[in-house]
This record gives sequence, C-alpha cells and structure tokens, in this order.
Amino acid sequence: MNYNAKILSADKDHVLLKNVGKIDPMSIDAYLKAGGYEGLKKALAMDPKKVIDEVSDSGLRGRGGANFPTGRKWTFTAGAKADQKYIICNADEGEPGTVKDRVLMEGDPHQMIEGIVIGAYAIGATKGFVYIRGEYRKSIATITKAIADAEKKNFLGKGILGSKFDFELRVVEGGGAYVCGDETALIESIEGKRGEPRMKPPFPPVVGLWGKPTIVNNVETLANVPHIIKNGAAWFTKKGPAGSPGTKIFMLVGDVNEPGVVETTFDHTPKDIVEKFGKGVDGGFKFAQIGGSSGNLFTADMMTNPMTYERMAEMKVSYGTGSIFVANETRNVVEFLSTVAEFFEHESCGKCTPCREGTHRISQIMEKFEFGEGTISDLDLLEELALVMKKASLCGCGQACVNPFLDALKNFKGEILAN
Amino acid sequence: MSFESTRVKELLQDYAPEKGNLMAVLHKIQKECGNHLSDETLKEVAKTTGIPLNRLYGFVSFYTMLSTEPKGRHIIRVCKDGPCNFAGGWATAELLGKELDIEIGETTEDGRFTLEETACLGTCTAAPAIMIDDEIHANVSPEKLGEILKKYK
Ligand SMILES: Cc1cc2nc3c(=O)[nH]c(=O)nc-3n(C[C@H](O)[C@H](O)[C@H](O)COP(=O)(O)O)c2cc1C
Ligand code: SF4
Ligand code: FES
Repeated sequence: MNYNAKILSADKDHVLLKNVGKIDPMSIDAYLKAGGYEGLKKALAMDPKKVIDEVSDSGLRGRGGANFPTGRKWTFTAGAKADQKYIICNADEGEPGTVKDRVLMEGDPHQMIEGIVIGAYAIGATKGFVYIRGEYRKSIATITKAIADAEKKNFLGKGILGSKFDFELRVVEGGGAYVCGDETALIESIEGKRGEPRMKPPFPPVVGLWGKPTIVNNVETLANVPHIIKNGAAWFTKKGPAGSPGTKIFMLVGDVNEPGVVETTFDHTPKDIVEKFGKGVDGGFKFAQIGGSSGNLFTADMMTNPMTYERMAEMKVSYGTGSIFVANETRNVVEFLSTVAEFFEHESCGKCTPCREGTHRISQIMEKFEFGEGTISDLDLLEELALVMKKASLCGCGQACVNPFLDALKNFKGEILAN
Repeated sequence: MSFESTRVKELLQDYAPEKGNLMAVLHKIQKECGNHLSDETLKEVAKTTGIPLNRLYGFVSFYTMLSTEPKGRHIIRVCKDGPCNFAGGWATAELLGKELDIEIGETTEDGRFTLEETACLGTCTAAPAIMIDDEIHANVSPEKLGEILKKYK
C-alpha cells in the first residue's frame, strides 16, 4: 500500500495511524477485526447527551487548524431546534505541506466514518457529507467504497445496528478551491454555489447547510472520536500534557533528512520532532513554517517550545494543521515569500476587498524584491497592507495569510532589503 | 441530437440537489466531453437541472478544476507550492514545458496534453508531485518524467 507518505513514529505510540499501512483500507472486515465500530456500538447504547459529555470531557479540540473544542461545538447543534440537522466532514485539505487527512482517508477510511456516525448520533443529524477536495481522486474512491460497505453492514442507513437512529452519508467533491476549506465556503459549495465564505454570525452550528444547524469537523478530529468513546475521556486526557490531550499528526516536509508523518503527543517541541523523527535538517536550520502557507515562521529559538495550546498562545502563534516545513540556510526568504504570495493571490476568492486587493499587492511587492527593485517604503506598505488584511478580511484566509509576511518582517527584514 | 448532448442528459440523471452532487456530475460530464464544459453542454445542464445559466457559469468559473475552454486528452498539473518548490517543482514544470513545447496553460498541438499548475497535492512528504488526469505521481525526477509521460497516449 503506497500513501506517498512515510510514517516515522513508532507503532506503539499510534492511535490514529494504528491501522494505516497495516490493514487493507478497502476491507471493512479488516477494520472490524482490528476492533473497528466498537466505539459506535458503545455510543448507540448511550444517551446522545452522554456522548457529547464524553467528548467534552476528553478535551478534544479541532484538528482543522482553529483548535475549537469539539464537544462545545457539538453542544450548540445538539441544543438547536430544527427538523433537520447535518454533519459535514471537512476533507478539503489544501493547506500546503499538509497530507494527514489524505493519509487517514486512504489508509483507514472506516475510522473517520465511524467518527462521523457517532458525531451525527450525538447531535441528532440524520444526513451527512464528506467534502473531499477534487484533486484527491484516490480518497474519493476509497471513502465512496467504504460508505457502501458500511451501508451493507448497517453501520449507516436505517435503524443502525437495531437502534432507532437513521443516518445517511454522502461524498461531495471539491473543484480545486482552497477557500472551500473554510466551513461556510464549504457549505456554499455543497449547495451548488461558488465557494465564497459567508458572513458570521450566524455560525454553522446554528445556521448552516440549507439554513439548518450543521457541524463541520476536520477528518483528523472525527478520527479521534471512536477511540474516545471506546476508551473513555480519561484515557484520552492521560495522553500528553495537561490542557493539550491526545495525539496529533505532524508532518515533516521541506529540508529535513527524512520527510514523513509523525503521530505524537503535544509535549514535543518542533525541534524534537525534526531531530528525533526527521533525522535532522538537511543543511543548517534557517526557519520553519508551521501549519501551512498561512502558518507562522519559527526561528531556531522558537523551535524549542513544546507545542501545547498554552505555550503556543503565549507565543502568539499556532501550529495550524501540524505541518512543519523546514527551510535550510541556502533558502532565500524572498523566494520563499514569493511562493506564498502567489498561492494566496490565486486562492483569494475575491469576495472582500482587503484580501482581493491585498493579496495582489503583496504579490507585486514580492515580485519587486525578487527582481532586486524593492525598497524600504515597499516594506512599510507591505506591513500596512498586512495589518489591514488581518483586521478587515471577511474570512480566515485573508486574516491569516499575512502571518508569514509579518513574521518575516520581524525576523528577516535585513535579508529582504538586501535582495 | 449529438452523442455529447445525449450523454450529458444521461449523466444528469444522477443530479440531485439535496445530495450536493452538482460538482461530481460536472466533473463526470467534463471528463467525457473533451475535458471541458462547452456552451452547448452548459445550456443542456441548465435546461435539465433548472439552474439558471448565469449561475452555472459563475459556478464553473470559480473552480480551478472546471473549465469552459477545450483541453488536451490528458491534463498535467504541476504542484507549485513551497515543499514541492524546494524539491525542484519549478524545474519539473520547466522541463515538462520544454519536453512538450508548450507554456503553462497551453495544450500540445496534437491535443495530447494540457500543462497546468496546481495547488499542493497533499503529497509534500514525497515532493515534488504532479498529477496527470486522476493519478498523482510523487518524487518526480527528470529521469522519471519520460517514463511517466509514455503511459498517456
Ligand atoms: C481559508 C480557510 C481554509 C480552511 N481549510 C480547511 C481545511 O482544508 N480543512 C479543515 O478541516 N479545516 C479548514 N479550515 C477550518 C474550517 O473553517 C473549520 O474551522 C474546521 O473544518 C472545523 O473543524 P475542526 O473544529 O474539527 O477543526 C479552513 C479555514 C479557512 C478560513
Ligand atoms: S478574506 Fe479572501 S478568501 Fe476570505 S472572503 Fe475575503 S476575499 Fe474571499
Ligand atoms: S507542496 Fe506539492 S504536494 Fe504539497
């Protein structure tokens, strides 16, 4: 089985990656043999409210980048009165450097599906969607097959496993738009519209897909759910440091000696992860961008902090999706930033002015520096633009895409000017 | 009625708004109709689904993977994002352009390939990556490219 991603951490430390590369992802029987769908069986015997309590007590937070407590989110939808509720699995993974959701879908599809069904039961949703980005053809095929198999065994469908709970799950394909990873843009896209983010509030847990209360959760978030229900919240909180429970999939990409995926607890520092699992930096370390193209730039001294929510918040950074993209000493900051600028110029959906114009202007400024024509006043303009975009953009795309530029102005201003 | 219009009608039978599958249906139609959605095709879609034509155009133009312009039989998408770039992604794109004698966005004269850029393919731990039609190729190197291209007629 080839996932184009080497697993670098040890089997004994795996929860989410336990089956990946070990069982046949196309076989539901293999998943069942490995203890699969036991979490769902247990959940169906519980009161839905109790299921939410368990998830809340576990301290699980969203793995899609924003770290929102999953149990709390579910409470909003569970409490909303409506004739129809939905659950959506966000599999639009598009943050450059991020491969984890693809590996989870192609390596162990039923784990995620089981999590979705438990989530649906907890919040009272009878319909759900997995929104998979259009480029992930193999994930689309794998999940589609897994859903069909789960229907045959009545883990999906009417009266699931003899209970009164009905749930239907469908795959929706994306069309190549990064912004559709934003939950409100994703909802628009499922509705057959352009994937432009909505104004918030109202938030999707109250007014979501076709106006109904809707939970949107990341693939990795949902993959955690069966384990939490099966083993209990206390088991989960015991993993890792207080306040940052559970395991997380980190990805090592760029100038590391051994790129790949790592599942580990949050007490590790990025430096540990690079050294212990990635066999160190290929060339001398210059900086790392953590969490995708909108992620913060980490300098060497920042790399020695554990990636707990607490410590990250103190440092005013985030580890986002968990990708660790390392740049060695030979890399030019301007070239690096130009690639980022082009990405966001292309991916800005154009709905709001600060981001539409801002990404375009940033791209122009970076181009000037690439050709050695940039000046200090261009950098002043860059900073001003970035601060406006951070404040005034409608969605997280425009707000967060300026992070690497602001960080570079702080740490690499001299180098940019020398270009 | 042309073959295409009959086939479009057939494929549209699967369309169901409450299943959110407009994109899937359009992907399928596009694949069978020269890798693009022509004016005729979109008119047919509008007629059958009841979606206003201007909204349909708005939809198609928003998504990179949908196209109203004719494309080659095979679409090569080269990842241009950070991790791939570090591993020689741009060099790969340039090499492909030279090999096929086209620029990014163009189609070869014989209609065999269209060369495009793509955002990250989630294959960054095995960079650089390219995608041809539905298949992702990882750890692409100049030596491997020739072999890979041979598979696509
Ligand atoms: C521009 C943009 C892109 C996003 N892309 C993704 C994505 O690819 N996958 C994802 O799970 N969340 C993405 N998010 C975050 C989602 O809006 C949402 O917070 C997340 O799916 C919630 O799930 P979680 O709580 O389980 O993390 C993105 C947000 C923004 C603003
Ligand atoms: S911030 Fe950018 S991506 Fe988000 S709505 Fe505005 S233009 Fe679109
Ligand atoms: S950056 Fe090219 S596959 Fe991710």
